[in-house]
Amino acid sequence: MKLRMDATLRFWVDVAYDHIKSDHDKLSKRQLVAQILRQYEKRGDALRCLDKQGKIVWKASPRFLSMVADAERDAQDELEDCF
Amino acid sequence: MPSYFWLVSPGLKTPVRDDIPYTTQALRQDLLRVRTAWDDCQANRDRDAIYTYLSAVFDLVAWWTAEGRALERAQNALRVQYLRPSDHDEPFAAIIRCTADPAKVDKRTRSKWSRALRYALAYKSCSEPLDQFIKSKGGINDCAARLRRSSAPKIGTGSLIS
Repeated sequence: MKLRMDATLRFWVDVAYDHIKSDHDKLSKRQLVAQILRQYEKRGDALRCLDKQGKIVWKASPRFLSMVADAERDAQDELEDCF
Repeated sequence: MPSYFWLVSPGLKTPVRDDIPYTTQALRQDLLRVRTAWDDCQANRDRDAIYTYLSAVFDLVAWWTAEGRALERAQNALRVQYLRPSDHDEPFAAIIRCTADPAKVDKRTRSKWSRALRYALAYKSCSEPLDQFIKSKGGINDCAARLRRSSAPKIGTGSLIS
């Protein structure tokens, strides 16, 4: 079954996948993505819900979105401090 | 960006599966999110704020139902909250019991909300927001009453305890 994700979660799952794939070259991308989603769900960063077609999709949790927004603001502030 | 966002415990000591089981930790996180929605709606004086909470309850039970596991997971939810399942707790009522303040939501209100949500689950399209659907049907009380009049099926095969 295909793992459907919203754009934000897809981005961070891809980042995580790129980060760990070289340590697990015997595992398929599907297996690694499943592990990443499992971890994200366990720590409250991702959740499952139904989309408009009634299919189960994964999305970033409100807490995760808020953390990403904070991190982006911090990065922006640091960048501005450099100039 | 902090490393938090891409370090994802790559230990993988357990056998790797390509499905994603719904763990107790995941269930706890889902209940925590619904509880947060309850706290948020209690802090908001807007009369429609309750729909934020009811939507959180609805969304959770809706995907459990899509997997055909609503009764079992609702029972697990009661268990992780150290609540004793009662013989008339539908999944919606169980999640409300787990997440709303019992001093503010009595048995009757819980039953009414549960019936309204079951009606929505049976008749709402997935693309329609819950609040819009319930309001278009006359509100929470009317939706609860409509369930009584309709032949909407229960979620799963019955109540939590057979």
